[in-house]
Amino acid sequence: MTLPNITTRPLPDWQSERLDRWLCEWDIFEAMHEADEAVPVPATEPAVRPDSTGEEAAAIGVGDVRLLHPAAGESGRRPVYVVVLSDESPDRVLVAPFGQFAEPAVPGELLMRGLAPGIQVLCVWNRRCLARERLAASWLVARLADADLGRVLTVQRHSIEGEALPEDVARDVGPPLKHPLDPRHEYLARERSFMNSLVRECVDAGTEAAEGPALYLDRSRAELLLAAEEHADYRPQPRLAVPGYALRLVLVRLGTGETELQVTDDQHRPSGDLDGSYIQLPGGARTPAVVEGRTVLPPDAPVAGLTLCLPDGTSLPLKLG
Amino acid sequence: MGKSKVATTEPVPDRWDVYYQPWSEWRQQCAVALCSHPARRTLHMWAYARFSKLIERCAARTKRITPPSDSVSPRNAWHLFETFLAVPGATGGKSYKKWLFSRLSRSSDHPLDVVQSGASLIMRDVVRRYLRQEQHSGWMDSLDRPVVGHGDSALTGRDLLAGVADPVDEIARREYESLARAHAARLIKGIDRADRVILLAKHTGRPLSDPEVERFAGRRKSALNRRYHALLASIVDEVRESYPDDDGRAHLLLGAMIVENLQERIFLQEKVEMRFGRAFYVVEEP
Repeated sequence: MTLPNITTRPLPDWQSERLDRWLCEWDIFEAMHEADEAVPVPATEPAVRPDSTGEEAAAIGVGDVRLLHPAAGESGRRPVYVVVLSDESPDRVLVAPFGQFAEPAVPGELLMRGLAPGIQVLCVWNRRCLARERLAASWLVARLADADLGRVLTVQRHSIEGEALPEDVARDVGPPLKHPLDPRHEYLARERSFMNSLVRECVDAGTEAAEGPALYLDRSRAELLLAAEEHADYRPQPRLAVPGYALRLVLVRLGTGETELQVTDDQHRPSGDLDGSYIQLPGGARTPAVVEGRTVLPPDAPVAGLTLCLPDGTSLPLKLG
Repeated sequence: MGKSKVATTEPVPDRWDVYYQPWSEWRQQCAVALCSHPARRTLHMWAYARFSKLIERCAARTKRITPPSDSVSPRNAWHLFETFLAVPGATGGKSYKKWLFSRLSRSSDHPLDVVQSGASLIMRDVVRRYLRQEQHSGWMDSLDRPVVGHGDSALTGRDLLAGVADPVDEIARREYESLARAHAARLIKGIDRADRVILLAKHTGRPLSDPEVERFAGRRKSALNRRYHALLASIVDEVRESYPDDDGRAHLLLGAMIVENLQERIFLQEKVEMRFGRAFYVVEEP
């Protein structure tokens, strides 16, 4: 028996060379971590509120390169440099962290020049919303030049809307990641986990809002739509309660006019508990089935009078609150 | 009747305080070059010792690293450390020093331990960057090095890039998907607990170094990585044996689709059975 025919897409040489260099650094990184796991990290007090001068908070601006204060947890384990991508929300700031490597690993990582040897690759894909108060406890390191900030925002738009990258920017991002066996998947998982921990440490320290969209800890897309786009809606999102379930359905207005419905559990984490269900609108129309905790309401859908239809046929009226 | 000891009134300087003094001096100064000679020497030697130790320990872990015969001097080791995170010309260009010393307020350990452990974390990145720059010429085969498996059946980084392949048309895609389902349905019967945890972690985007993943699997990160690679290699081997007349790219494509199918099956099982509680219930986007 033979397999069906396939087609292949060759990558340009510069992408292969970039991946080659990245893999080299990854190998060293792995060897280094295995060898050096015993480096002691000082015990930190849990849930401390970072010092805040207030002055720095007021000065936060888009394009700032900031070093986060080593509060409890992950930010004490490595210096975390971030670039402020958006500060339009009164209480939250969208930031993208710098990575630890010298080469961009994936198309969502951008090579930045002119900072320091250890601050070279901005991980736009790993952006998160942090409480403004948390950012107040950071140090302003530098400000990106307008041209550099423009490149960053171009990569950000590319990751949201798939907008094509201009050639000069495309040359400074990482090679595509297609294959599930690629070791970069493990790298991405670790970096994502690191940033999630960082956001959680903000929550533990009480500097993150106890409720609200900022708690979409693992869902950078939702955060982006909230904080990075002109059409983002910064008002508190309406929530729907599911009778008998410790779940909330959060409505996030998208730039397309549609409303994304996101299922979260009582810890505000995305939940897949309602996967396979759908929402019935007052007129009888149905949404697509909930997949991975999400579905979409049409642009003119009302928030009131919605019904949740579970896969077993049960219908539950949803209530605001 | 013995003499009772008389407590001395002169404070005896703590040995650790003496060692901390150069760091404290460096904190006050803009750069080590402005520190006193003893402080400079102490800091240079710390950097050199840490730099050399990290290279040795890294080399002991992988044969691909050869400790440089003419390693950097103590002064250069410190220079690499001091400039690694310093942004030239920026007002806050040396904020990393504030980061290092801010850790003091979060710890009850001796300041020397706190500052040196923080500096060691930075030095680890310095050494990694140094090794990559110095030894990359000998590593240019990174793309041709086995990433998964070993011997003739090993997959290389170049294979993975070349694996940016697609079935030639929709009919071919469906056939690949059908084959992947059949292989996965058979393979899942042989998946043990540790492999199950690994595949769940991969499917939900959690790193194998996650403490909860390690706990459920009963193994450390490095062991889990080895198991994952062995599992992938065995799948690709099976594909190769099943379709010996096809080329590596087709094998790789089908192997990847089998892995994806296997992950999805195990994830769906877990959603129902919840063998690991809610640990893998939160799905993270790739």
